[in-house]
Amino acid sequence: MKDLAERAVETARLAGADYADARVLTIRDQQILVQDLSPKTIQDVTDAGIGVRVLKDGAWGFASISRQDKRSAEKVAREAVAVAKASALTMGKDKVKLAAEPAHVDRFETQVKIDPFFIPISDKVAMLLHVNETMLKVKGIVKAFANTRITHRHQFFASTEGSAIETLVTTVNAQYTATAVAKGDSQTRTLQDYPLNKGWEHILAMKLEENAQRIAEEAVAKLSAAYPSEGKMDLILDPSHLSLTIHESVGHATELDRVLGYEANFAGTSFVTLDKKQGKFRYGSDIVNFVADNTFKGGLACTGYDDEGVQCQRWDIIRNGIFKNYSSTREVAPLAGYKRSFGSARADSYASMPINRIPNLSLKPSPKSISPEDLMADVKKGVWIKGRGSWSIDQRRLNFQFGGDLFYEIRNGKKTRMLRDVIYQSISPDFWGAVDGISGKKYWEPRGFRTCGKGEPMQVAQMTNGGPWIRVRGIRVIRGKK
Amino acid sequence: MNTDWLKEAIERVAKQKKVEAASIFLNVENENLSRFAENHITQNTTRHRIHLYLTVCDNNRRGGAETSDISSRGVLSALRKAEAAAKASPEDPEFIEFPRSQRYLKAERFFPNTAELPVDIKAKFIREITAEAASRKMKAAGIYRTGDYAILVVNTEGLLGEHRWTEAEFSITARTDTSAGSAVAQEEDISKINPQALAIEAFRTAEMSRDPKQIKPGRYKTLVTARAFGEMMPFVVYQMDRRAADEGRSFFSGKLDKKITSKKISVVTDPQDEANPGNPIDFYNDGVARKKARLIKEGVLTNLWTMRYWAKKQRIPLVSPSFSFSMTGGSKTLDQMIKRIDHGLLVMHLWYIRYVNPMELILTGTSRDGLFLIEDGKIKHAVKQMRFNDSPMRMLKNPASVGIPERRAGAMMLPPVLVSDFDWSSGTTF
Repeated sequence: MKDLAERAVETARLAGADYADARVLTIRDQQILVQDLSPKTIQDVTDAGIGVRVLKDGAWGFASISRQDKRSAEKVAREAVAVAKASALTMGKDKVKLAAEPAHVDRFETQVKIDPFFIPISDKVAMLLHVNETMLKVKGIVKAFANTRITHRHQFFASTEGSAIETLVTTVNAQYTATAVAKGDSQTRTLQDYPLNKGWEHILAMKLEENAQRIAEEAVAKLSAAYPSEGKMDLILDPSHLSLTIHESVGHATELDRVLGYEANFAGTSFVTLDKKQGKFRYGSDIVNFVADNTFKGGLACTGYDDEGVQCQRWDIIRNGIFKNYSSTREVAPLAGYKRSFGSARADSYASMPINRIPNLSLKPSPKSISPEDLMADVKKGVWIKGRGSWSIDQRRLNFQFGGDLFYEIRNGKKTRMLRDVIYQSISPDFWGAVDGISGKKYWEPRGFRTCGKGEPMQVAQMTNGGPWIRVRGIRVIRGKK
Repeated sequence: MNTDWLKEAIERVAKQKKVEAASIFLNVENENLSRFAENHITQNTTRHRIHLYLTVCDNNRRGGAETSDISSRGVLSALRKAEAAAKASPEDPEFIEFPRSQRYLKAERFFPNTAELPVDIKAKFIREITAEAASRKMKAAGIYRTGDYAILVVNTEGLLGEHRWTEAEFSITARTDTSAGSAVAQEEDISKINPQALAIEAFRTAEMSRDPKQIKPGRYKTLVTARAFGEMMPFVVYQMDRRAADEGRSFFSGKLDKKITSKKISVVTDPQDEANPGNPIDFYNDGVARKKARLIKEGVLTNLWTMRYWAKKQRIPLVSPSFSFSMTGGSKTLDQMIKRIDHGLLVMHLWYIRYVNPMELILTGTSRDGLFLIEDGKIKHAVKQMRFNDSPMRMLKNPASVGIPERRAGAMMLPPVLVSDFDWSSGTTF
């Protein structure tokens, strides 16, 4: 791999590139999906290739091929330079200048206790079938889906600046869903996806089989649950739900490439414009602190280095409610006055050019030992929300609407009856400004995502968006029903 | 890669296999995508990808492997992995064997002029368009994508098929200080796409969208363009699964052979539709041949996607799932439809659409790049973006009017739709 990456970089340099980097990447992905008692997908994927990125006269070129041999490395290197020359036709004075980064020669590997690829496929299938069997035994359940996915990415990165970085990253996750049907109605309940860069030990810790009956019973109970009353009320949000709110309303909003208009045609821009980097913009209440941390072990963006060779870092995004910093790539960092990129450039494959992605971004827990019950105790009328449901946010990341997977009404400080089809709406800084309670460290969870979509061509990326429980005051709740 | 290569590959697999049957799908992609923003190219990616999917069947079990290594060694490695997966699997109560030889419909979707467009020609188009944007004090972002693609399928039971096509896509978003406008087109034949005309459309919408005014959220008579309606419809099509309907977990449960839309609406999927051709090979059903299917006939739901296992179990015809479909419409242009609106909204484009309630097919999303107040048949002013919570099926049940269908996303023929009470649930600040 090292030889191929260095050969590609050298070929690009000889072809006239001012800068070049190459990623030789092999991805192994094992996916198992069981529907009811039928093993629907048992698949092992190997995707290997080379991607070469070059700068020529301040313009980008990128070419890739799903092969790993010397001739292919040279071919795509030369092709990337030719493409860059075409790009240069459109460049005026806005030539690309990369933020400085020291050359790194290093190796990073995810710490894995139990290699997930060593667990026999038959054991995984048997576990998922047992989960489904358990769920289908619950009266009212007509459908059960369960899946596991384990991925190993082995990459060698080399650049004309002298970096030579090998990364080996393992990611695991599992999820299942029960569907209940009665009287022309249907409801689902999901044991939420909880991916981490860990080994099979993480899947064991999720206690998949132990939770299956409860998940199925909750799906059935949702059918006869009450609809919420509509209007403004308080919300208690758990980490399995909050991760998505963080992701959409803070994570994407603080990607610097969006702020600069690079995603204007597809993923959108951001309300967190450059003038808000003066240390005065209030994003949330005083107790709201968001930290990006790509060094967080087990986090989905903890890879040692990003896909342009920048070392993983930890930095503040929001401190005491005030916006502090964006996530960035080497290209966009200088455009906001940063001398160094925060290291958030990711590509989902050798065939994709790295783009600015959300880091491991988490809401810090309270330094006090506050429990979810403590948060609830001060709610007269509200809703307790667990898990993910419907989600949508406008292209500047202001107006959002979220559902959830499990809801309970809160009356006078107590969790009471189950609710269904709860939807809430807010505007990002209004929402975070209304947070007046955050639970302690004990209740913080590193929830995350493996399929965050962005870019053209569309790429998926993975990142952890952890959080504690929070209490938010006076949020508009509506019914997800006509 | 061609069918000769595929025949050789399956012959080798047939000799080396330790299972009853094997199938190979090969996906081939050669694509260049020039991406621009802030009036210059920000990404320019060329990719050559080949992926081979190898599936085996043995004793009512299945296993699969996917690889980018199509050398003899790579294919053999995939075969062994697929066999190991099948061996590790228990018997599948829903097992279904591979299909035998198929007769595929011919769909003309390959245009050499699209496949051969040089990257520097695209860059020159982009340079002209971004220069025009700059002269209008606008910033342009977008993509210009061209590529040639192929799907090839073969199995040890005698099936062999190949479909090649090209795609070209140009999209642009033009921004001023207070507004944006956008336009997009996707076709197999690049000569059907006029980037300059699309750019002018985006510039005009951005200009008209300047200084939008806030209006109160609520129900408004709303004209949804074909583009915006085409952004909602995939959420309907995805739900049109016969098994989900039969099991009572879908909006379409109990609705087969019943009236679900206005009589004006019929929906057909047909790989040979000249105005909207599609892929004749059904990847999701092991390579069976896609056929013409009528989903809605004059408002009555006549078919739902039916996968091979469910078709066999229920003894009903297989209906291949497809996101390529054609919907009937009316005879009015968008401008003619606007003229007949006394008070209402025109929405050009929708964004971040998601299900709110799949059983009622209620969706949410926001307007984007053009939301206008119409009064007395004319666009009066731009409106700040809003969020909707409504159902495309409710829209089709009782539309005030439907316009001339147009092709969107290179796969859907569908009309603009006027509804009398579209639910705009909340507002945003721009």
